[in-house]
Amino acid sequence: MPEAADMINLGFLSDSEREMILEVLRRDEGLRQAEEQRVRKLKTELLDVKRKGAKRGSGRYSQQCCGRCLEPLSRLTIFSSQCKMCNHHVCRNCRTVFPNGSWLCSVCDKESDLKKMTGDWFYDQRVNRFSTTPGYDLVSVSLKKRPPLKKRQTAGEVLLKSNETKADSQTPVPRPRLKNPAEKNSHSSEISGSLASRESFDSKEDVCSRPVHSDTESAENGSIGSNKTQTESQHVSPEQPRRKAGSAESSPSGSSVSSLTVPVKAEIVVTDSDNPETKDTKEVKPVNPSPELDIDRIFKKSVRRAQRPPEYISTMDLRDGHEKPEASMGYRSRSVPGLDVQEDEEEEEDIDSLVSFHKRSMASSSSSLHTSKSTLGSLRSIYSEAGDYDSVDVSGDLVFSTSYDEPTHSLRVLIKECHGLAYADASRQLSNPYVKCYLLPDKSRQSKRKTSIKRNTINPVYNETLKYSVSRSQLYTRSVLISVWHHGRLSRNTFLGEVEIALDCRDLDSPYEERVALMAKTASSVPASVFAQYKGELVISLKYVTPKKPITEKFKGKKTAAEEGGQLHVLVKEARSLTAMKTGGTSDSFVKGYLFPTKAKTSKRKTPVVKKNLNPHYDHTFVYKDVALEQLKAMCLELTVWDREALLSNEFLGGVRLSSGKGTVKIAKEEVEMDSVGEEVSLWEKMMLYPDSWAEGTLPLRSTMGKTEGK
Amino acid sequence: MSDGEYDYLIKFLALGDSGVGKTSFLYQYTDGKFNSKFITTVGIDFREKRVVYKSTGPDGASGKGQKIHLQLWDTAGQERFRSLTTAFFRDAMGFLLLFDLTNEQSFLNVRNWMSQLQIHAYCENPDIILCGNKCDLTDQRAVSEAEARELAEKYGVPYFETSAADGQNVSQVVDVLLDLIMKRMERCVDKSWIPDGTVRVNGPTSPDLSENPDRGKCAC
Repeated sequence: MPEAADMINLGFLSDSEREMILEVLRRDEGLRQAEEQRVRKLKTELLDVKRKGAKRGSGRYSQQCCGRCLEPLSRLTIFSSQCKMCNHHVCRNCRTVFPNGSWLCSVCDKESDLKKMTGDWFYDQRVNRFSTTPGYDLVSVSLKKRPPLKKRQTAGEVLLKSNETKADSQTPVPRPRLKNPAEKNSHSSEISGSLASRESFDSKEDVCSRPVHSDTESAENGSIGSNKTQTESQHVSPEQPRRKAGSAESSPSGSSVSSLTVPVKAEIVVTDSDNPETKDTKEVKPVNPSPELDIDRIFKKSVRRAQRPPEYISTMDLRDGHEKPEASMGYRSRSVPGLDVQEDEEEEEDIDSLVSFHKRSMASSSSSLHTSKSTLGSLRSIYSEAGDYDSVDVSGDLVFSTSYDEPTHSLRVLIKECHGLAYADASRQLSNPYVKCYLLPDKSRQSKRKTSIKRNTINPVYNETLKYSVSRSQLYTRSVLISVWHHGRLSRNTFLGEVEIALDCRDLDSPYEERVALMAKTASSVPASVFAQYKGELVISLKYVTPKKPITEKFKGKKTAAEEGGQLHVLVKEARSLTAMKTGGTSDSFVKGYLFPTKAKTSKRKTPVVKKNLNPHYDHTFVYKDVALEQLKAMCLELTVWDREALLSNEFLGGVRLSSGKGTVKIAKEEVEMDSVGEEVSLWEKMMLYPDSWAEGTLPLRSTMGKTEGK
Repeated sequence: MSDGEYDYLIKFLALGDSGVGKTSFLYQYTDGKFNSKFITTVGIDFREKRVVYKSTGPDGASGKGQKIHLQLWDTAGQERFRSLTTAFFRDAMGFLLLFDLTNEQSFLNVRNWMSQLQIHAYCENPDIILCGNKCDLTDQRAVSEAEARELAEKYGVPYFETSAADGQNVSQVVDVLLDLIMKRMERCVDKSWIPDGTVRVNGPTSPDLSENPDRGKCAC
């Protein structure tokens, strides 16, 4: 990104000029918001189209049926029915034919349409251009903390946002002129100051959604810079209660009102804004209804004024770094709050469903329980920290009852006992069973309930009641998933069986005990697409760095010394619209990378954790050394995003799998198909085709990393 | 303005020396009006217009119309706003580079504007149209069409002589630029699995445009 956009110094402008420019920027904001809404809508539409087609993402399906509508394909057409983009065979109805006779399947067509209509073709290209420090430097730079960049951000946006707070605050609030000399002075510095700060991205929503203290916190952060400011912030502190009250009731409407600044009269003399005298001639501004903004301003101004002359203010937005992570709302989704809610309510995946997806896909490919068990091993090796488990042949049954407690509006699931459970460790005749329960479709931690663990028994008696606060009307659409697990104290947990109870046809008023046989994980006939859920996006750049001293060194190396020493650089830039896992609608996320096939865990890489942010910027580079360009064709890069949970297992937020999309790769002794699709493939190939340059892409996150077994 | 439905939001930006007629050009395009009074633009401004774009395929067949919302950024030509205006270059998909046919210096400065674009635009070879404005003032003409064409050719960009006063070529210029953008967009997206321009973007490698003979071709 050019420096210019980051640090535009508007100190040279007169007040009236600034006002005019801000007016333009506000108009631009209106347009931009409409655009954001439109883009959001388009992406949702694409998701719908994708959902309809079952053959998205994973490739192992019968070629006899259409990859989109699953209608059988006629034999005649099968040879010419492959979409050139995703390679799925699709029927005539699921194609979009272009004037020149070529065609794409409906999803691929929609996808490229979307790229055009959202302007992503442009933003993708631009991001590349301005994120380029020469090759190697990027690596070291990316390790340092850089200001977060937004792909779709425009200069106008940056300018406006940085001035919005200032504009807001300088406008309004009836108060005597010259009430506070410091304020006066800082006034000029404020407006003339930076256009660069990004702090106010959240300035609208965050007043509602994030704790108020963060504001004061940031102000404090700023004040650390100088003693002078510290004293000044103390000045202000008595006002804080007022401020809090203000922000509690302030709302987007508040801020929009404040942006309606009346243009400054033309006769105001155009003067150097640094001159305090001209300030005195200034007109009283219109009234701003939100008082806290004013205090906000006193706060910020005094901080700034004390620190630097106005000309330099553009470079000092140190507070941004602190304030940014507080963001709790996806910027992109801001203008469509309704969608946010919807997304939050969407079913959240955790590692269990990840694994169960895997099992399902195993089961559907009609492999025996035995094979599925062994493939679990591969998964285990990958997600070993993430609560993986063993599996045994399920036996036994469960005695339970369900009831609804009207006074407390809670669903009670009484887990009474189990009989004849399988041994988790057959050789030692050992089982330490406990029962876990989810109120589906919510599979997040909020919905998880557990009983105690009974030691060394296959006939545990619990008599424990698990409660869910839920309105009765909601119950009819939900079901209870009760599973039994062996708790391995030092080893993995083992799945002992489960049962799913739909609540719509149950009599919840007269609880009766029921005895049901435990089942193995249910196999669903059609595996859900791994892209069926919008889990957000991951922005990455790939580069293959050719070895510095190519060829020649044949003597040293054993075989192909020529290509030895090449490096794969994976720059993990940012993720967007991640699923919120923590209370307060945030996640503390990090990205983990593996390059397969690999020996042991040497290919594991992790980014630092970015806290409380659904649009985290990692800007971290994974470097894989000693990789030959040739090898990459048969390799597979997996990047997974996780919600960091200090004491519990981390929760899976989504992932991508980059490869050429053909053939299989060995992951923990298991041949697994490289099922990369779309941009996952194109980016990988781009990287290989153009060594020593960055290939950047924005990839949709898969909702599970379930693998398909290769043949 | 931004109400209603549209299919694409396309952003253009007009640049060039102060007084060459950028604002007038855009005003003529959006409103069909001309104001001979010179009011200098403060920093930046923009206008909007809704148009329908009909793509013409290689076979000449035109597709269905697409609704385009044009955002036309106007920039101040004055030097003092330079740092501000150049910051907006990066947000534009296409550029209208204007000079004044009656003012030779504005023509000589085209070169500078080109290099500014190269530095600040979203890619090294954005779509640009060179416009010699005020062609209605034939008696004051200071730049010949031939030399203007020669320069445009050197940069590999289309050249038009326009008049914001009588509207000559104004809408044509925007249409041509729009067509260039829409075509570029197609190339970027079509077969996006084929490695495209985004891979060779390690910063401006050849700052001088003239060293870049394949300009005008999309990097995609």
